[in-house]
Amino acid sequence: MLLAKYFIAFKNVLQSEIEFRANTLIRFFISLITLVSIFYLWNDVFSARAEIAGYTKEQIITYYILITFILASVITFSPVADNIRNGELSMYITRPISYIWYQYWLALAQRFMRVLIGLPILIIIFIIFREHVYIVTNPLSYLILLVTVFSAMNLLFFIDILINFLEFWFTNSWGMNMVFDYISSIFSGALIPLAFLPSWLITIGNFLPYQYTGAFLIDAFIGRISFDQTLLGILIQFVWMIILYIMSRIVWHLGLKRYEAYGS
Amino acid sequence: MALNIRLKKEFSLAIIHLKLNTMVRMEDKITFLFMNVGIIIRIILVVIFFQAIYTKVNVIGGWSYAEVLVLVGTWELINAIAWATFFRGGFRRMPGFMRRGELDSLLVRPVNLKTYFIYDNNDILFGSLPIIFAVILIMYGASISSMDINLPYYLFIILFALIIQYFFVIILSSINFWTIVEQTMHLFINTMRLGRYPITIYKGIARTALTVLVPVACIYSFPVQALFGKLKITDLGIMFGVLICFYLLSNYIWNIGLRRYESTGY
Repeated sequence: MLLAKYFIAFKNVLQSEIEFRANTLIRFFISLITLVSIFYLWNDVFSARAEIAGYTKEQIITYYILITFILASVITFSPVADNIRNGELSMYITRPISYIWYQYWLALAQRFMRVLIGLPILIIIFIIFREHVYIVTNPLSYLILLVTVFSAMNLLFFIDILINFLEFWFTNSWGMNMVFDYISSIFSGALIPLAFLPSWLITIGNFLPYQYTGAFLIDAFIGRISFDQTLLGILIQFVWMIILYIMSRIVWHLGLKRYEAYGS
Repeated sequence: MALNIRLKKEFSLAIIHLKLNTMVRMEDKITFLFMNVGIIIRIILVVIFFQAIYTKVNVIGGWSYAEVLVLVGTWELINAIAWATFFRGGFRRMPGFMRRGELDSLLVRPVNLKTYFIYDNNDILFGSLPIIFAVILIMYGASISSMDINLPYYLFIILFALIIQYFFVIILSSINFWTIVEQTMHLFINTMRLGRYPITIYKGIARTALTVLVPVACIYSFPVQALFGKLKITDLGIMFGVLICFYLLSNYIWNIGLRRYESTGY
């Protein structure tokens, strides 16, 4: 019963995403344009070598296809900063709902639909690149991918909402968003697999949650890390989720004390 | 004489817009600070990316590390100029104009719309620092290279690259006359990302397509090849051909699109 009101919001977003599925599809296609350059770049890099930093050419191409797909699915626009900036937040805080959980269900619905809409495109890409990709045959790996992608969605939601809450202190936080996006792109492994990075950057990355939103998912899926390491990684994802949830609650309460409901 | 008057009018309008846009931007100092921190981080990340690859290989598509640094700098420089001028202007906002029927209010103004969009939302203040960072990277890349450099030739080719990119943006934005593509900006950025790597990594039809259809080779790789004296005369000829074709095509598509345009919205 407690979840019923959030489930209505979830259903509304699902319907809206279905209605604008063409828009989502176009967005996916556009995001995947960069895969062309990634494919040619790594083809060239691997032209004289069979393996670099523990990756074969097939593994690295699979890595980029999956990470591009996952990030295109799970990175969604968050209205939180806008709500704070233009005073719309007042509308939500007077309702008998938790604003954080309300936003969580909206984001979950958006991400869920994007994964579903994008899945046929992913399959087509794998068919096109079939001679250059690493095909995972172990069914357990697919189950691991589902679990880790779901956890990554949750992690990204809490990271995202925390950054958006900065709007309580700064009038326009998109500059900060941009900085966090770049930091995320390196430590999540979206830019380059973490194994290629210098050791000092890997050390910094180990203290941050970002690798559990990207590189870890793919490395676990393609079997670059052992089953025990995968289980430990899932546990770390869970711990980060709790830490980020607590942080977002604290920042939310601190932010509300500063909130002055600007706008009309 | 008429051209002279028109140029003076456009120039004075550009100055007025520059003053207004700069005043608006000055109100947003925190964003300015973080945006520039973000741009420095982005450039450092791309350098880390290539550095990581160059620890494993000596060349990428026959290009040395120094050449790739100049390529990254050139990519940042051209995009920063495009962002500060024509791309940040009306072209980026075309989907919104079409959806809300706002193009009418712009069409009735006594200006050439394609020229007006170069400066209407210019952002010299926010655009200047990325340009400085890009120039520093280009200078660093050139300094660690053992090759001779030809700066005037590079600047000349950069100018033509910018003009080609401008025509490309017009063509891309004109799609909105037929079907509104909300992600025009996203499409432009991702297409241009194809040019962040040396054109020589692409083979066969992909290289041809990226030279003449989506001319990222002309926009990013050719200027770098010109700087190091590696631009072949045939490539220069192709570049001029692309420039003329894109000029004609952008004019044609834009004019056909304008004729199709029916004011919608409220």
